[in-house]
Amino acid sequence: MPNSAPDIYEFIIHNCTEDISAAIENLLRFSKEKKYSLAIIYKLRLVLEEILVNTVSYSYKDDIIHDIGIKLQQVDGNVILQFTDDGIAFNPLSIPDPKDVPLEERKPGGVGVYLVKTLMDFVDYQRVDGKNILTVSKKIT
Amino acid sequence: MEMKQREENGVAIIYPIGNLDFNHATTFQEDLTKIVEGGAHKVLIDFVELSFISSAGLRVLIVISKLLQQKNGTLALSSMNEQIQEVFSISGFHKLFSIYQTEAEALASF
Repeated sequence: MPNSAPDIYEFIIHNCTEDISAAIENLLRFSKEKKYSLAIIYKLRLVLEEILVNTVSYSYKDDIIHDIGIKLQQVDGNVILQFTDDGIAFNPLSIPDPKDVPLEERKPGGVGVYLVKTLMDFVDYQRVDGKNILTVSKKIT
Repeated sequence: MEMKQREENGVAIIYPIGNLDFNHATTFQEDLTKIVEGGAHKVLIDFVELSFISSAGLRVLIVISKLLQQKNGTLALSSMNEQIQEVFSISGFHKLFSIYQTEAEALASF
């Protein structure tokens, strides 16, 4: 029987920690509808949390509420997560891998970015019209 | 964060429950700090009821590990599920902790 769950979830959250929890709930609902394995769901949840915590914690220099766009999509055998925010330009791919930093001195944000890069098959960053667009994807096994 | 606690042979055994994520890391750190400051210097954190950990949770474990080192204490971890083991392994954090397959093995190490 074909899986009739929608192939795309698109929503907007604000730059506050409560909304990160809402985004996680959406991701879990999407993953459940798609019947992803526990191993895939764990990775997607981890990556979503690491990216959004970094964005909410470090991307904004004002106290204004900002929108963060999130798109969850399945294309062929891959699940794609895309994040769009209007925070300061930040390319996570430019962060050196923490392997060269003593374990005790690793910054939590750096470890999060490293986990994202390692757990995903593909990570792309673009700065377009004053916005950060981060796209990651994982092959569904 | 929800957790259970018991003591065996002078070892404080902590069982965090559910998700050790950005949302629960702070309270878990506060609770663990209180336990250590209260005099528990042999601490075992058993992950048998933990489903998920993120870098926020890893950071708490580093903080508690350092706190115990200052007090000449010992920290051990046990019963990680496959996904949590992978997070420790990829991040390199497995080299920082004494990690055991089972609670019994961890207890025997103290």
